[in-house]
Amino acid sequence: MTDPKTPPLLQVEDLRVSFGAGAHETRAVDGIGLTVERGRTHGIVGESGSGKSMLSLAIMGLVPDSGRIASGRIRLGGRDLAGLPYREMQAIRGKRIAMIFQEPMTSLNPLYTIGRQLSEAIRAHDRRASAREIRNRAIELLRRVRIPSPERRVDDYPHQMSGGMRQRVMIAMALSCGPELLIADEPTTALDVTVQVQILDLLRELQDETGMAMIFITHDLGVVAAVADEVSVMYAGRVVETGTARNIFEDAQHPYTLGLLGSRPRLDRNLHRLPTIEGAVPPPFDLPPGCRFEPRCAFATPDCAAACPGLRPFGGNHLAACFRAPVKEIAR
Amino acid sequence: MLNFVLRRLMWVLPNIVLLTFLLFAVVTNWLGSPASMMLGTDASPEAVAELNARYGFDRPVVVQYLQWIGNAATGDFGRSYATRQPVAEMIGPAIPVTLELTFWTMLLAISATLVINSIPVGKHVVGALTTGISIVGVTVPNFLLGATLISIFSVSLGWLPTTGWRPWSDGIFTHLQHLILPVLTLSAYYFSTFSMIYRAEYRQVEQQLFVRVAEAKGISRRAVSFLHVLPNAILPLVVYIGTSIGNLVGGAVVTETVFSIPGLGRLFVSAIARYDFPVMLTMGMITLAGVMLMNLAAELILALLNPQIRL
Repeated sequence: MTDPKTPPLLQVEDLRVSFGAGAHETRAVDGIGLTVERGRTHGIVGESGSGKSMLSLAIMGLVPDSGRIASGRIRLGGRDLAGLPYREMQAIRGKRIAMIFQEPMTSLNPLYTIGRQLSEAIRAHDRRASAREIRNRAIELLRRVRIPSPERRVDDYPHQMSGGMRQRVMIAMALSCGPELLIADEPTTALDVTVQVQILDLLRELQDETGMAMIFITHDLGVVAAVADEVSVMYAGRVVETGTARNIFEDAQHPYTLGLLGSRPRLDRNLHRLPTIEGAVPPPFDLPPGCRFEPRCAFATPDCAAACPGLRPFGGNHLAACFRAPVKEIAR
Repeated sequence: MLNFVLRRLMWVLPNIVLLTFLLFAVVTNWLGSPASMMLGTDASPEAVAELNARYGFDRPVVVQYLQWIGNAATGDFGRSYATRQPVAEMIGPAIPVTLELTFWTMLLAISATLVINSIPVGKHVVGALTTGISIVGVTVPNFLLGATLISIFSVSLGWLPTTGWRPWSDGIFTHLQHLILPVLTLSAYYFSTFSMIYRAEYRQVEQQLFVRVAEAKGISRRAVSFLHVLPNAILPLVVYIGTSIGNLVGGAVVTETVFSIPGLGRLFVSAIARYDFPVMLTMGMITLAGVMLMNLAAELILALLNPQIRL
């Protein structure tokens, strides 16, 4: 796809994030691989509990104290970040990789003005800038995320802003040091539908302007279809299918992906009930022995309960982890 | 801001009037009669009536209260029944002693609470240690802790004086030397209670998303702790600290007694032992005013810290 000599911007290999130890060890992320090319958007789809947020925290080096990266590599432009101490990650966090979160209402410290919080992000990676200069840059950032009259809003406190505005502030903060990679963890989930569209448009425009890559985490396939170039589908701590957006939306191989696509409300079909996938994602401390989707899978055979399938190619970079794939023919 | 202060004062002032009146009524009328205190219990009814008329104890409580307030405003708090000394002369010298004790105690307790419980390194060890110290500090009575400290540092090691109070004029070193053990004893208790409140709040604030966002900016752990978690976690503590200071201004009874410190607490104890109403009354008023004013100060600090309150 790209020149084999230049490494991709981000390459996650066989990443495992564990909590607890010994018999009580649980893996929130269990052997994940992920490649993000420069300037592209990689969508990560999964239900809650699939480990997608923990994956993003691991890339940021912000796994909670109770957990750890048990194995694997997180290469950013060739350098392995996995297991780097907090202090060394400080130079990378916010500067080369930035992140925005799901809840704009609680993402900002209620005690400080947004200008002060933006300034903190700028100063973290530019200690020589003067206070005047930093303030001007903060105002400029607010302007870039289309906040009206930024020279006034810069002195507002978070409680004086709406959710959509706060998410714009979060985006401004993430952009403050010109990151190569932006991790957006469900950035639109908590917002009204009309505001969601505005935020998605804004992110796309900013990506065009800056050429940054994005990891876009969501449980909403509609959002993924709108923004992603590549897509990985996660289930219970693993990637079950990955490929281009076209691969996933038009040629899905994994029964789980097909289930997710089937659960989407559609206007062109008149259904009394939306099709659903029965059951829930198994928690990481109670995983089935074989394929993790087997208990919920309509296509499961006894083989599926015996062993965990690995990712197999289905043309190009399209991979799926299912013994029964391609299941479309079986379904027919 | 000024508006806020005025609004608060309008609420606090009627409160002070009501509470001081209640205090006055309780101390002068219900705890026992001043006449029997001065004349003894076997005095004749005529003598009691005569004394009551002479001092105005037969007038309605409201009148007596207004009279007392009026006199207090001019610095006249009455005379001690026990020593016949003016109350102002007895209490006056004790005030700076107790205020200084309060100042050092709170300085030590607050700064130790905030620093020790916010440092991001060695969380598990520090956490277990402060939890242990907190339990000891809250459960062990002050007189026991004070006596233990005296027996270790003064008697066995001979590093510090056992008890007593020396004024600044005896030299700064001597003055501070006599302060170390009482301040340690008192602040152990406050450090313990402050820490319990602060640590619980700190753990909650730590889980907030804005803390994660701050980390994601690439700032140091220390900056995250002290600039983002601390200012939010301190909010519930501020009110508690205010009340504690107010109470302490009324005198640290046990500690002052153990260390023979001539502060308000010791004066209060001896006044109670002798049913010395004018002294008890004045002391009660001081404590009351201390608590009310410190609560007001705490509210002001909260409003300054939290922009959402000022509205």
